[in-house]
Amino acid sequence: MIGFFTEILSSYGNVIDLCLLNILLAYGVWLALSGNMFTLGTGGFMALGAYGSVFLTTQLGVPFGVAVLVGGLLAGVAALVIGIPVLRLRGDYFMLATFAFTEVIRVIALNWESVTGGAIGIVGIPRYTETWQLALLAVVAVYSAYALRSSYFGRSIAAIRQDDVMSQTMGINVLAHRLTLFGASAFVCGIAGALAAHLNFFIGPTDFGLLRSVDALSYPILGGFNALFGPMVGAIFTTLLPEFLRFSSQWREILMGLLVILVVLYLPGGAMSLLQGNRLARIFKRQSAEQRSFKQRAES
Amino acid sequence: MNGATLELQRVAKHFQGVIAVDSVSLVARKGQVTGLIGPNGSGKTTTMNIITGLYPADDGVVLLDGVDISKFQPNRIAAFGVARTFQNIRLLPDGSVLENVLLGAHRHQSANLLDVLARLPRLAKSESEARARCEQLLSTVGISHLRDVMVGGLSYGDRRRVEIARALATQPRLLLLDEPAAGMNFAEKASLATLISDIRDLGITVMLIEHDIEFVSRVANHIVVLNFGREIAEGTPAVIRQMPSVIEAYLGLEDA
Repeated sequence: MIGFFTEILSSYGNVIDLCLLNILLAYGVWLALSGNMFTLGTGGFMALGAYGSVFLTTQLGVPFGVAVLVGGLLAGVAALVIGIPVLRLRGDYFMLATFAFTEVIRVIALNWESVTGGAIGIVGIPRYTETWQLALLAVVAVYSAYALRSSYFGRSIAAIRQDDVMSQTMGINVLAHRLTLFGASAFVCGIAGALAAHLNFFIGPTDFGLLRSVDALSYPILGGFNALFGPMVGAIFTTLLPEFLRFSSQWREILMGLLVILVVLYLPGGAMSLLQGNRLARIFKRQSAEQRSFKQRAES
Repeated sequence: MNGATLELQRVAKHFQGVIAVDSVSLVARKGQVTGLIGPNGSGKTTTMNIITGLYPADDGVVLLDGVDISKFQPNRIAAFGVARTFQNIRLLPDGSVLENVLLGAHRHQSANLLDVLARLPRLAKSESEARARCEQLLSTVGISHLRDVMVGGLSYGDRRRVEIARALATQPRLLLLDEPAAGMNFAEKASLATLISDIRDLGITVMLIEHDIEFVSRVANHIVVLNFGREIAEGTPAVIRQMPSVIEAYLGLEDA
């Protein structure tokens, strides 16, 4: 039995690590999305966590755990700094501003050769990231999402997402909530970046660009960000898909694009709304509510 | 609960040359129901948006018990004791009645982020206190039986009651109601009038925007009439209904 597991780990270890890492990333992006922030800053935040932590472990000999934490904090602080002006922007403009941030970080990584290794990147990073660490953090991420959602914070965040003007008049500090979510999202993405850097032996500026940000954004959207396990399902699916489509990387991208379009058009609640029958449940609930209030009025 | 006195002094608001509120001065006295009436476009809702901080006033001051709140952010004004309902009911349709009302209790929750993430006992305590208070409010507004019903399936009148309960959950000193009787039938209006009186009897100052002059006359102690962004009359309902300027603004001139 143990032999069976070690065999699976050795042949699929990389894929499992990648899945767990992307789950972490998915919940990081979910934090921002739950406050209605369609962030393309994920790549930039990951880069900060990655380069920051690698600098600490390889140049300064800082312990791995501390380096990862500092990498996350670096990204979180960056988010708080850019968040104050950027969070005033809505929708498309917010997306553009966060995309610009990712680009700025990429260009800095490309040119600051003494720290980032420039276009060549940094090679020979020690592999400190272990599967159990990724698994533990993925569990913590899911748990935190659960705890947040089921508290009054979750209710406020849902209210902000649906109607921020009304939320403000209820005494909810919308800007502070969104800034906190954006910072927390960046923190998680920074940690994911640091872990990714110490998983792959190599980091370069192209690892953390627009593509990475869009990919990360698609995890919770494909899986469904209203469902607790939605980001997880989206991350696993998106990570495994190329494994089944190994014969052609072009097919993979075409299929992914097609899927995102289909989900957004026909399944706005994501894949999880299919599994849970959320749509049906909601329609049913609404009907029964109508019937009940009708009955009550008829009785009174 | 303790009511607060609201005072507006020469409040003005322009939208790119359009004068929404020209110069409004009025007082809503502590523990009373003040009606704000006027024809469409006379600046009633704009005035309410200025009081709650959704629009910054171009000019003038808004005083709540003598404190100028006109430069405060909306959430700070809410924390200062001003709650409101909206003309075009703004509830979360996918949430239950109780969940919607709980949103108003947000600012009285004592649990912090650590309590939430670690699920410390303080969270459960804070949550159950808030629930108890909100369930109490549901019975105050008379919709206890709808507690777990999704708001999307409620009748118009019941949704208005949910909004009022939510506003009360913030524990306001001043409650602003924006056309609460709109779209209600005769019986619903009568029970709403009773509810507004009950809220006043709790000690909360109420300001009521309304089209229906009959309805305002029934519940308000004092009425302010707006037209073209200015107050044109004020007084008790009986006095207001006799004023030629009010009749003119509402019904037009006779034999023009």
